Amino acid sequence: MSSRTAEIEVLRRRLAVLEGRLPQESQMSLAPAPAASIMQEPTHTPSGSEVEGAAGVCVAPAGQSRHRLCLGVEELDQLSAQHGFKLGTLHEFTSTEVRQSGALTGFVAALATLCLKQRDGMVLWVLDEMVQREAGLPSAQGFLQFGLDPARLLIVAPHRVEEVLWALEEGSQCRALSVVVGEMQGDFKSLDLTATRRLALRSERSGVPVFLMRHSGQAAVSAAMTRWRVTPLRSEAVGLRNKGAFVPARALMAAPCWHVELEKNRDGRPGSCELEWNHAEQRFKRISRPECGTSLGTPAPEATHPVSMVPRAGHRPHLPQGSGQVVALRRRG
Amino acid sequence: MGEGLSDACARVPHLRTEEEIPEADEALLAALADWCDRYTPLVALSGDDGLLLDITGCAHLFEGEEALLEDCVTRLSAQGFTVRASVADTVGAAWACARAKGGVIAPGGQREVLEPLPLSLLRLEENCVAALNKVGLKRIVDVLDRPRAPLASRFGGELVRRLDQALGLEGEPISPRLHIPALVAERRFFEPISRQEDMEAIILALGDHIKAQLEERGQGGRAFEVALFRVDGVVNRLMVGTSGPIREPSFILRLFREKLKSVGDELDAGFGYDLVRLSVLEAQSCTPGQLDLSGARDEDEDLAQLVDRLGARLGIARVARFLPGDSHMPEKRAALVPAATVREDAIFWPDEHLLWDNTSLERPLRLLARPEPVEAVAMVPEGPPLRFRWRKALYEVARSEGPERIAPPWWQGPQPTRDYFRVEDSEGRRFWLYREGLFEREVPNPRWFLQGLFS
Repeated sequence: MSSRTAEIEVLRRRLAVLEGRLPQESQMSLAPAPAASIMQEPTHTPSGSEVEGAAGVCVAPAGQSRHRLCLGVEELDQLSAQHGFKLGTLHEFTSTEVRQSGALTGFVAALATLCLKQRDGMVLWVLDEMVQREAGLPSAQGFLQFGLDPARLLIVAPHRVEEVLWALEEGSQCRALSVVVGEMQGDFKSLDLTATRRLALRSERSGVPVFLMRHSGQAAVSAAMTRWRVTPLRSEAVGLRNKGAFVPARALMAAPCWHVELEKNRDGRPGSCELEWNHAEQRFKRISRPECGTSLGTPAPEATHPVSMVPRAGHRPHLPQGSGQVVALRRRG
Repeated sequence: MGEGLSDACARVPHLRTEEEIPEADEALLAALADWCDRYTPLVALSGDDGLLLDITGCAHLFEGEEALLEDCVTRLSAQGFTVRASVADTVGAAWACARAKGGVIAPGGQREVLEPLPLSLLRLEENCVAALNKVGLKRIVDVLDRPRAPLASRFGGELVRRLDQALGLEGEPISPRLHIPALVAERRFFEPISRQEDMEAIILALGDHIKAQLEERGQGGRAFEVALFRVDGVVNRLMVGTSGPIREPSFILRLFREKLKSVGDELDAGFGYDLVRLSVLEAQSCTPGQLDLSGARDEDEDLAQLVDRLGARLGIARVARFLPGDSHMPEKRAALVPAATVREDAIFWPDEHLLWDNTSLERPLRLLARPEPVEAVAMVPEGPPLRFRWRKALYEVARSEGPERIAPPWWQGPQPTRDYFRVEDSEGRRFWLYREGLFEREVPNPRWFLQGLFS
């Protein structure tokens, strides 16, 4: 009898997952004990302070470790429905300009580094010829310092964009790979809904994540699960503490940091965040810059009418707290 | 003959003239040599107007030497060539006979055939033949039985050598044009085929044949070639390489399928192919591996197959891995080598980043294909740049670290020293710039280059 109820429970759960409305309670009850304890930890730390999440593997619930990637930054991980981002699917990363390719490469390389901790195998890195000419090839030594072992890189440089897509498709079917990364520049007709859908389906079947980098790419119709926009961030004054007083050393550069905007997220809510990559410990750290002023989910309020904004995409399981609130509006005139 | 072109044109008003294009002749002869591959893999060019075929051990496939010769001459004549051919024991005899009357010379019969022929057919230089003619020696029989020593001392050793080669007293190897494959399987068709499905079926069938032979030898193929002989004499060759020895026909077919896709329209089947040949260009010993007891598929094998498939379609060199180089110059620190050819244990990157613990990243994530010149302004000649112009855009430097001095190896000739700076512009983009040459010590006005992009 009990086995039957368990079976029904499992089926219900699968149905919920299929419909994209996995209720929080059932997940709690079914999730393994250690995972649940992590889930119940206070999620909102005071803004501005650093969130000391451990690197991806530790935070991820045990049962999902191979299928979900936790960035180790609570605010970003909370954006997806089930804590951490789904791995076996297509993710897009864009930058507004080609000269920002360093920042884009950095963020994707950091994600790939986290993936490599969870999954065995090589990284297939496919570059379009145009990207090679404009932004150059990945540098082995740079990647090594960054935390990604160049011995696990397989660089493929086809002639044409169609061949890039074909190589990505071939790669996304190969279970021996840990991540597939594709780089393109600009917008292409061949990179349409069909092409991205094919990639996403293959990736879902094999479980190999596909990261598609589009330098200076516009937001286009695509079947990707998420789309991220990465912009470089000025480094903060790195300084020395001299008897309690902060002495900024102007010349020094800080660790790589970006403003990362999750523009589209079919798995949860969009949002944005400022991140820093700690290459020695191989983990992300959340930073907050006073001059940037934006924080997760809540864009800067308008100056004239300070109205609490409702976060975008409210139909997702993680309902915003602020919805349905009564707000007073100032009468005109 | 021997007249000027204008004289000849004046005499025969409707004379058709063509300019001689030696390159085109050469290409045609090479194409013919390709086509002759159907008889034997050992085909060599002989001068600029002949082909040498070593048909040792091949004649029985065509039901004898006469039949082979006839088949060859008929097919070439059908293609519009005027052919003279001969089969003989030695290269010299066949060469002379083809230019005299042709036909097949019985084994050991070269002496009788050569005797009445003029000396010019001995592949001698013209002045040597003229000198022999001057003293009344006109035919080969005149010199055949003369004592060798006086002949050699008067007309040169070449005459004696050519005589011995023609008679078979001295061996003469031919140097074939193409690499001789380790294994060959082919199929001829009465009715030419042109559909891709047919070709794939044939490749699969030939692969089966080759697999049996490779298994017998305990080998696997590293490079395969499919030669498609078109009815009208054109030969199309497709070549694929693999990262490890394989012999499974389905794998071979899958590689050729990618190759066929990448060649696409360039491969014109025309009126069809009447001979398809699959050859193993390179074989390597291959020890069968033990499968996992659980029946799980081997991941290394999956990866090797992926590399092969990508390589077959895109070209082997376009699927690459980073091999550490023994140099401090950033562009030579890592070499991209074809993934199919590199040994796994050669790729070892020492954990250098442990040394860089708690410091900033010193090397960029991306290296430009070649350093791009930038116009930079610096406060002091030796100092970091204040602003620079790269690809027509101006960048204000907000922060900079450096210099890090990297000098090229002195034993490779005088090259300017480089001072590298890591800079960040006002919007947070980070670049790797260097100044080439030390100010006033090496060059009067050092130039600036941008080599990499940081994250």
